[in-house]
Amino acid sequence: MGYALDNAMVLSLFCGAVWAGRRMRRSPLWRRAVEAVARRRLAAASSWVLALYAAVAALDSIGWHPVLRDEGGRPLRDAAGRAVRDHRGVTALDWLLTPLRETREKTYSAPFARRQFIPEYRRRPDGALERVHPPLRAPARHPLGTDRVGEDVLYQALKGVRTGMLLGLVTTLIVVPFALVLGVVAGYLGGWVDDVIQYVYSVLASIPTVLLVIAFMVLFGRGLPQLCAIMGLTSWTGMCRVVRGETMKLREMDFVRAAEAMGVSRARILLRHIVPNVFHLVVITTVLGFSGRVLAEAALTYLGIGVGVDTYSWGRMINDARQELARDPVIWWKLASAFAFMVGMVLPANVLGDALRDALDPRLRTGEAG
Amino acid sequence: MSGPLLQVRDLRIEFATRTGPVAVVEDAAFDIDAGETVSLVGESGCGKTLTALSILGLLPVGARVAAGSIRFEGRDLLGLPPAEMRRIRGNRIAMIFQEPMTSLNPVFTIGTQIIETIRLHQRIPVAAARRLAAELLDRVGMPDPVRRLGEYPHQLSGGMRQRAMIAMAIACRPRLLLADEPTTALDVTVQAQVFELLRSLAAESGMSILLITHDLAVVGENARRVAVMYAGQIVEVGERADLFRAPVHPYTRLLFRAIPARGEPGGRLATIEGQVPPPTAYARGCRFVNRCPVAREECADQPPPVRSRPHGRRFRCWHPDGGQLRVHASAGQPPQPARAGPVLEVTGLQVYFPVRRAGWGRSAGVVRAVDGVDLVIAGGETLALVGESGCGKTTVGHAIVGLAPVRAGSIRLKGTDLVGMSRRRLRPFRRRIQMIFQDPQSSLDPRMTIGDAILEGMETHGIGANRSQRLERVGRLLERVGLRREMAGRYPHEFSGGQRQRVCLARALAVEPEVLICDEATSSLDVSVQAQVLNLLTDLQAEFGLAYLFITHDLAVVRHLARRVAVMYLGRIVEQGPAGAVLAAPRHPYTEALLSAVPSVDGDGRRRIVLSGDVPSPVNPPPGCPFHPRCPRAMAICRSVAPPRADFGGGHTAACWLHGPDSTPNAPG
Repeated sequence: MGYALDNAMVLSLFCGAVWAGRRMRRSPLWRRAVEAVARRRLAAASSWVLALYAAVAALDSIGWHPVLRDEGGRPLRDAAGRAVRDHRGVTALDWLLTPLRETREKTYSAPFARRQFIPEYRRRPDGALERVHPPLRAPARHPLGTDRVGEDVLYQALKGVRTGMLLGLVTTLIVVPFALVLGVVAGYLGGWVDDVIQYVYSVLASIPTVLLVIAFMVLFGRGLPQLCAIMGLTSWTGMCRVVRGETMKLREMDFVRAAEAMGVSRARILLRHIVPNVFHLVVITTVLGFSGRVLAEAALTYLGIGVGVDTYSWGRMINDARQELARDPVIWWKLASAFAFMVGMVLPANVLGDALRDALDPRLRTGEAG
Repeated sequence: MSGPLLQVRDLRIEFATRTGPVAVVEDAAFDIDAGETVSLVGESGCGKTLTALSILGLLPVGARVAAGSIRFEGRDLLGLPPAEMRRIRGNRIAMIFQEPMTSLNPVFTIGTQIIETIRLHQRIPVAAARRLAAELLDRVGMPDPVRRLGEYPHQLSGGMRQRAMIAMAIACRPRLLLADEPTTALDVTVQAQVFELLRSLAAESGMSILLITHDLAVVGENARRVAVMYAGQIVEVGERADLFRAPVHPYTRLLFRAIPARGEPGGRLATIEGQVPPPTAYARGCRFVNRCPVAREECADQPPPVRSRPHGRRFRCWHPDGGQLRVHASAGQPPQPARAGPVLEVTGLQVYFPVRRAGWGRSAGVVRAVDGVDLVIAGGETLALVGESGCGKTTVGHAIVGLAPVRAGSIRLKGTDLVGMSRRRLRPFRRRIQMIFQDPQSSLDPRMTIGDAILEGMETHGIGANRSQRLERVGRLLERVGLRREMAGRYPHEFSGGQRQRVCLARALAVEPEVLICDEATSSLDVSVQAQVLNLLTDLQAEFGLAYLFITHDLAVVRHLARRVAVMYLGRIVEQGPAGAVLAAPRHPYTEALLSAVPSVDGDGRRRIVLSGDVPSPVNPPPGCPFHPRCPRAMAICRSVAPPRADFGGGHTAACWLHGPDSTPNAPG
């Protein structure tokens, strides 16, 4: 597996964000919304926190396969004389976190501890057994401690950012087109089209998500892409319902009727009048849904049907913590870290979602102007 | 107890804003004596409602009383602790609101809500409260009160809901009733019922009423004294008869001249240029200065003094009755004579809507929204379609522009039948019939600049060779409807209601229509703004030879604008003819009742026919004449056989058995 695809995706996402930003800057409505969000201190702080998370995720998605070198620093070569590359690859984040990644301890150590958490028995020179906490290889260098195999917890938590972010984003990219197109079409056309779409999403929404995820995983294997796909397929129904309802309301609004009476084509009415007017709902549902999906990943992984074992994720960290909490004394830092990182992402997402809802609600905006 | 029941002095209400407090009501002062009805009149945004809310101590968040006093029964309400205030609210002073649907809680029955109000202030057992509630409903004229107690607000019509609200308000025999636009959301016939009720309640119990309204005609019929508000100040106070006879303040004088009923038919109405300024932009001197035709220098610089005249008249003006109010009047043009032949002919139009059950269910019945309507509009003339809400008049308009499914009948535009055309074939015809909607809030896309909105139709129909030509045309149209060219880049929320209606007109005119359907196009506008828009409509008609179908419930507007009138009731046209003939000598009892229900500024002394009940449901209209259940002159035959159409000459027809084959046509009366 190579990083070419990942790198390209990060690049295109970045370009997309820049493009969207420029579009928003040109549209007075969006510019006002952004200004309104910026005025609210909590919301502004939230967007910075989210930007930080996004940056971590982006860094963790750009990567390469470094050439392996021997002790002397010379590249290793295979029989054919080509340089041997690390097949696991290294991301930009790994590279930045090299000290954390490479200083492994033997086993558990508490945050900022200088000595190992688990005591060891050592024979003193006089022959008596002695219970000691051996010093760490990198004392006071693990801000969130290490786990059972001595891996740095902060490193794991940071690696989990990408998983959470990716889940939120990719799922959203699947959900939005589905929900928007189907919702708008169902709401605007009504009749049998509406009946069919409603029927589909009612059926889909009535199947327990966990069962559906298990079935999907069995068919297509475990992994992050599969998880994104199945969560996307199951979670468009909520947004679709919201969009459909709003469209039905808009359809009866005079400006839509005026466009119809003018002879404007249906496609144009949908694109120019309906979609821009439901878009604020899409944004809000997306942001709020994003946090829901991060939480869902943790829950599913905890149940053992989430991402694979080779993927770092907060869900996996919580799953590991199950045994750690049963120990005495309790190993609390892995759970606490996963929890803190998750809250750190979900809470700002919710705050920003609320702020966006207020900023984009046409009624509130009218109130502001009048 | 001596002195007035309510005494408001120097009231100042401020709104907290980011840039500091802004006074929205200033120096308000008026009295209400026991048993007296006082009216607070003014256009929207002038602070009438806030004044009323401050009496109850219910100002919205952000607003507060900054100065002044409100004395009720000798006590200053502003100094009362909240618990004491709650005892007065609903008990000694009650309020009814404009929108009866939203002021009742939809999830509780009428009975529960009335009983709750009663028991809040009187310690009586539920059963007794229930009996009292039934009595109250009976007193407000609700038929079958005991059954109504168990019904939910949505099961009642608008008029019935307002009656329920009134029943709640008078439950504790308040001394003062604050009525905030109590009939604005209701039909004229229902409005007449409600005011009749309020008058009799006031007379019976000696209750005082503070009637807040924008409608001078309502004031004329109900109030004893009047306070006219403008931009947060009371500009003139006086006894109604005196003030109506000789208004002093230029604003009051112009307001009277802007009422369509007083203008000459087809002539120009006096308008007040511009609009009410927002509280942040109140002038330093007289607040009316920018719109006042007689303003002079000192008006702009110094606030005018409050002066008094006999009969308790007080006003705030530097130049009372000064100067001639010039009205931008060209000589009253007579209504446009019909040019050429008919442009639009509607025959036997039927629009039925299926009542759908939820899910896959089949239709559970039909709403006969429009049931056999015939209309003819000639080029350049105005036909008014009048009727109460729910009579199907809007659906007729929608059917003509292709927004409602036509079940039967034909709609001919210069001979071409539009019914049954495919969307594609219909498109070129749609350009020729345009519609203006009632609500200027919702008729423009909030996310589209008004320039784009006007362009849209031109692009659809290929008017103008290229974009720059189209943009040029947008600019011309905006100027034609009285806006500025550079406003094209603005969004709808940056405009006032009247301006938005102008934008809608420009959008419709952009595609060069022949017929313009105006669906209550001016009903949501203030009087002075309504006059501006009506004048604009008259001018545009003369300029472009447009035919108007003017759908409205406002007979004053009809009298002013229309050459012919069609009166609609429950999906059918009951009377049709030249405006002069129909309005002066109505032949159908419904038209008669409708006309008599319209309050008039010049007041009283007319015989009033108050219709009982509401418009029946169009799901199963009454057999025979649809009007017979409410008709004061119904005969046996009306209950079974639909009446024939009697012709009175000059195109004046009426569908009524009074003029049927057995009786000779004669003027009713």
